[in-house]
Amino acid sequence: MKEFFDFPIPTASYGWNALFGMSEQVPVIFVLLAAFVFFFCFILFPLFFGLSFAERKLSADLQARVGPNRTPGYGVLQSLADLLKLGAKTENNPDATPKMRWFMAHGAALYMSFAFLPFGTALIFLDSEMGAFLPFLSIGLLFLISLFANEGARDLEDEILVHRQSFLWVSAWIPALIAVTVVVARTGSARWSTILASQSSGLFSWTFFSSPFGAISFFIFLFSGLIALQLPPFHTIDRGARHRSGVRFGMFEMNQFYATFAWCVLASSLFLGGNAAREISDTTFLIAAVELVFTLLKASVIFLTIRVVARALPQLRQDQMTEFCWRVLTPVAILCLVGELFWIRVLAGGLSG
Amino acid sequence: MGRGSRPLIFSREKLHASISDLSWGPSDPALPGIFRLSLRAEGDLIREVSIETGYLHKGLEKSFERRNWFTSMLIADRVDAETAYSAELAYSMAVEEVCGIAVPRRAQVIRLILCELGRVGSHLGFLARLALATGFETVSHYILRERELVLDLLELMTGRRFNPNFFRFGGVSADITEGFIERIHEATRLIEIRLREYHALMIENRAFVDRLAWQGVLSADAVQLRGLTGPSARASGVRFDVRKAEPYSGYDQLDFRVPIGSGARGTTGDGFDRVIIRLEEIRESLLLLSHAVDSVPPGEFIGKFPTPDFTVPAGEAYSRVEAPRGLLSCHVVSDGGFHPLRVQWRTPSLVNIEIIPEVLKGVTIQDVPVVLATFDLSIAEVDR
Repeated sequence: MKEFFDFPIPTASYGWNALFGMSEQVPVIFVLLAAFVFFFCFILFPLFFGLSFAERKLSADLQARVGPNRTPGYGVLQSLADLLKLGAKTENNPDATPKMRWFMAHGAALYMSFAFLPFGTALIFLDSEMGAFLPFLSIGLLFLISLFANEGARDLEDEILVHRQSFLWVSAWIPALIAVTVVVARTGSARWSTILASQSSGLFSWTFFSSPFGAISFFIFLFSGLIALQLPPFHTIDRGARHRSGVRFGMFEMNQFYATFAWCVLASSLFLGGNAAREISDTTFLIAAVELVFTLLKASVIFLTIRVVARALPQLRQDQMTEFCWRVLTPVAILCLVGELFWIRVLAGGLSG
Repeated sequence: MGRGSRPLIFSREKLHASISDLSWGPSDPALPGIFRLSLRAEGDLIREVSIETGYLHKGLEKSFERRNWFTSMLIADRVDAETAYSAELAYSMAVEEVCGIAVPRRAQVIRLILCELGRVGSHLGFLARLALATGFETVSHYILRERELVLDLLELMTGRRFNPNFFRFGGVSADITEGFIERIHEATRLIEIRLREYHALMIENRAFVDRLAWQGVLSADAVQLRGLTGPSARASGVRFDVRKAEPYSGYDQLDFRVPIGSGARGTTGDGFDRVIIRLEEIRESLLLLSHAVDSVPPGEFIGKFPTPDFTVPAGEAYSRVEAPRGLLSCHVVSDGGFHPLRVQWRTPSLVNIEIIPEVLKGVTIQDVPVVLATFDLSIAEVDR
């Protein structure tokens, strides 16, 4: 049995062991399970409520209205109240998708993506040479499951939307992948630990500030991810929403929140300095805790910025977004990659030489 | 269909099917009201459209016959909540024509002010609904804020935000409230400033313009053939406005412009033109309001206050007013009794909705709610 759990995994997850007070001998799969439960119960849910409240209050302020104020604590529990209400509602379309299948598929996709996210230099479960590209697989799976299992085209109109979304998904992943390649070209590796360490020596070591192409790539990565995942402000007119109600609707909202937040974690890790905090202390526990807090803070700021800005923009059609991906994001991403290579080889090389 | 027999999404049969029939409504958030829209799409382009109305039928015209003349004004408000002042005016004008009642000049100007305020409120409502249809949530909230200002003014004057029941045969039910004129000036100045902001937020926003330009194009020929009126017709280049063609209630004594569509960003008569026309009409209405409140003549606000036993001599009359959505006509027939014998309405939305099947051809499914929103249809007007 021990041999079964001892298969070699390139990992840098000892920070989680330190956070949970576990020995470093505990198989990584158990640590992953514990971290998953901890993350969802004590980080994601509180963040969901907290950030949703902050987003609603900020948006309300932007839109000259009051925002949630009925629940105790100036409306801070509004999202919890909404969730309880959704839980008490009956599904308006119980035949749309078997409920258990949806819950299982959703959970599996979330679990997978969690394993690929870098929460700190000591909080990486899968630190492989392909690390920076792996979240694409898991978040893509999350998107597809959301699309097929939850949305599950109920009529021909939904089906047309599904077809268009599939094309959009492909057209948006390409610039996102190229944007990640810009980072990989800069650091020379797609390993998370290398990417995070390369940005740990001050503000100008961040990919965003390291070259003009890094800054542009950040926006390409952010925009294309939001387009591919159909998240605000690039969400399309969601007529599929009429098939969602009750618990399924609550799960969809949670799904959207997680997808956006995961994308923000990736953006901050790739472009905004990552979260390396090794200079703070020699204690692994402290390093892990600080890195985790840094990651969550950066991702939260990006999340709130996206959500509030999204409220001030009109929706685009899917074909407009597909065109935007092919005609703008992809060519600019390619130019960024070429420019970054030029920057590294000629300018940065020349300066260091 | 049971769970076991649920078909695969990408089944071969469905992927190869190029024609699909869709049915929206009668209650659907994408539609501007309660009606059924049956669409036949090829891919996601609309090829055939049919509209089924009648879900909101209120028996409005029959209701007039059950009321006496005095209380029937209340029913005119039900033609449409946003065009209540125009409906009351049309009904009053028709009855006054049959009775030969002269309306004091002061009452005419008060009526004009209320109708123009109603027009500003209705057009602001249109912009807010369109912003929502395009997912422009923030702008929608901003516009509704200004609409509140208009509703507050109407409340100050009439005591009600909707269903005012304020006009009377021969005038209006109350004189101008103290402070109303000053607040009109304040509001027009503020809305004028805010219109410039909306212009920057909407008209200079490429993402917003791209959703509207070249969408739902309506030609001037189609407008004249089908008898469309109002801003939707003027956006197609047809310069027809009852306020100019057959002036009433003192419109002939005020100077104002009738804007028409020019294809500013796409082509004449597209969705963008229908939006910009209404923005310009709000500006014109604000100017009209400023001039009108400055020129309110002294005198009575009503000739002789009608009593519940008010009767209309036998006869009939037909009145026409320019409501916010277009030409609103009222045909009143009296047999000399206490009740109207027949009251008929020609509402702009009833005529305008007939062009929808033609306009939606070639539009993508995702654009249907936006194109419908640009026509500012009121199903309350359609069904009556």
